[in-house]
Amino acid sequence: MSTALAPLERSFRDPGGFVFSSGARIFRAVEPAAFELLQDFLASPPAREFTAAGQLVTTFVPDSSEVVSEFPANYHLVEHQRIEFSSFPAEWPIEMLAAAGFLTLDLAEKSLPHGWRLKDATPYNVLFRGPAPVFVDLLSFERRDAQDSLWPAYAQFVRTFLLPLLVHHASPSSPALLWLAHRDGVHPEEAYRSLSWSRRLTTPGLTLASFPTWFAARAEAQASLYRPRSTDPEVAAFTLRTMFRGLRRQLGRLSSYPRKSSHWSNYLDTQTHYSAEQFAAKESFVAAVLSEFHPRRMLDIGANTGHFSELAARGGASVVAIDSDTAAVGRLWLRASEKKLDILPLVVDFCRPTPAVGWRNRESPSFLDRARSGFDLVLMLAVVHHMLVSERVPLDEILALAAELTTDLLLIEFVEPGDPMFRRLVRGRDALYAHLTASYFEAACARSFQILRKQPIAQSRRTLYLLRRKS
Amino acid sequence: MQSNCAPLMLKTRYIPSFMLGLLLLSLAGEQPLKAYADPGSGAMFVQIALAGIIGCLFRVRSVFNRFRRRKQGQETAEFFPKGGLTRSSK
Repeated sequence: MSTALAPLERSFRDPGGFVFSSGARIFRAVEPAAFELLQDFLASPPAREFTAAGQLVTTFVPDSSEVVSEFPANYHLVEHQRIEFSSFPAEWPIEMLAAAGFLTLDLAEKSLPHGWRLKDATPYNVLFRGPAPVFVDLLSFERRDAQDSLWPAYAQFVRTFLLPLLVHHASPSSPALLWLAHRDGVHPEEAYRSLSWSRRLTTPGLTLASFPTWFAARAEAQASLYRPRSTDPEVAAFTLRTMFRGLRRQLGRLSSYPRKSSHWSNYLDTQTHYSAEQFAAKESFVAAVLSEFHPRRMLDIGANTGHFSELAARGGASVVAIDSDTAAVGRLWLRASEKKLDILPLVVDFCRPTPAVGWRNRESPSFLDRARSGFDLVLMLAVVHHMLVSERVPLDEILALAAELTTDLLLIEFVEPGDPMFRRLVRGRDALYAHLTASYFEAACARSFQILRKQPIAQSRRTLYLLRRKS
Repeated sequence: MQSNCAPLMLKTRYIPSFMLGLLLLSLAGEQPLKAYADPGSGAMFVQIALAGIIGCLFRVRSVFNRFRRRKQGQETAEFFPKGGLTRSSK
């Protein structure tokens, strides 16, 4: 059987092979020399151990009858288990970046005694299945020269894992600000400029940013900088092990800095706009929908600390939870990891979703391209009034986009202009939103959806709607 | 009086660090053109230096361990004489 394959254009950098998708399946075409190496690696103890633990993407040779012809004839084909929703560092809170870094170091360290090494160390080698990082770029493994005491990916690991964390702690910002502008992380010189003098002269700033900056010109002048260096194999292994331990210590230190709470990360803890009874009513409405319709894949827009995402995940749904607040998403990722909940929390502002970036704008597809028709339930609880007022997006537009994302259901909370939180956002521009009545909202919904049920929240100006997308 | 001295004392704390910074800056040569700058050269330099230091520490530790083993061996030889322990006959 011949299947038409579409190239995933983000995989062109490695001459050893490239990735294809065919329907819901993911294949990798590998050139002969790299294939031999890949087979050896997959048979090695560290690969077997990491694959069994789900930390290395499951890979197998597909049935030849299913193999297609749209790749060079001498290439070999392997199939990877699909990761349901691809995400990129621009959407990860620092906790997820650190988790990807720890996985990279684990693989590098455990492969060492078996004669393997990672030739690169970038977060783009990692995807997340729920909250769990999975290393997907198997062509990153190569045989190690036992006498080599240097790790060729050291500088890249520093640039793409440690320096972004260091810079974030010096000046917290959205991951998109960094990763949409820089594919290759933070250069030491850039980090150096963003650090205060005290941070430049103390570890880890001193070793990660200051020394490399001060010595860059001197190092570049040395033609021998990248020449192979041989030493006793025992010394080389000890040196690399010690270096990995040092990197792990720095990563741990940078990822466990005290976190400041953000405006939204305490939202559920400090909420004043719902009474306990009102919140219980909202929760029971959502729980009833989840238990009745059993959604398989859910998108929680404006998930905050993920209370309702957790409810859905416990009911068996695979959840993608997005919010623009980095700290709130970080907290949700920590909770999902600890409790092993199938929630993929991402830092995405729904009104400014992650654009397509990279070469030809195709290396990392946009969030909407990845999310479109990807969910059978979309949750929009207490977010529509922010989109209407703060972002000035018309209601019809919001509902039209929701209809593109869900294949079946939309659970949405309508907040009337008289609601105290709505009034806080409006700041006196009430006339602009005077038309937003419940009947106006329902008429707008009716264009793309059928109203299955509605429940006003007692003693409030909020109503929950369950809508079904019209086919 | 005290309020005038406090900022001065605060600043003097940073003098050694500042001098170290100046010294290291003086070691740096001319800055390369940004378009041709190698973002990994400084880190590579640091890695080579670290590898050198760790390698030296390993060798020192090996020599120390060998010395310690030899000394332990001598002590063992004194405690357990050649030929093993024999029950003394009366």
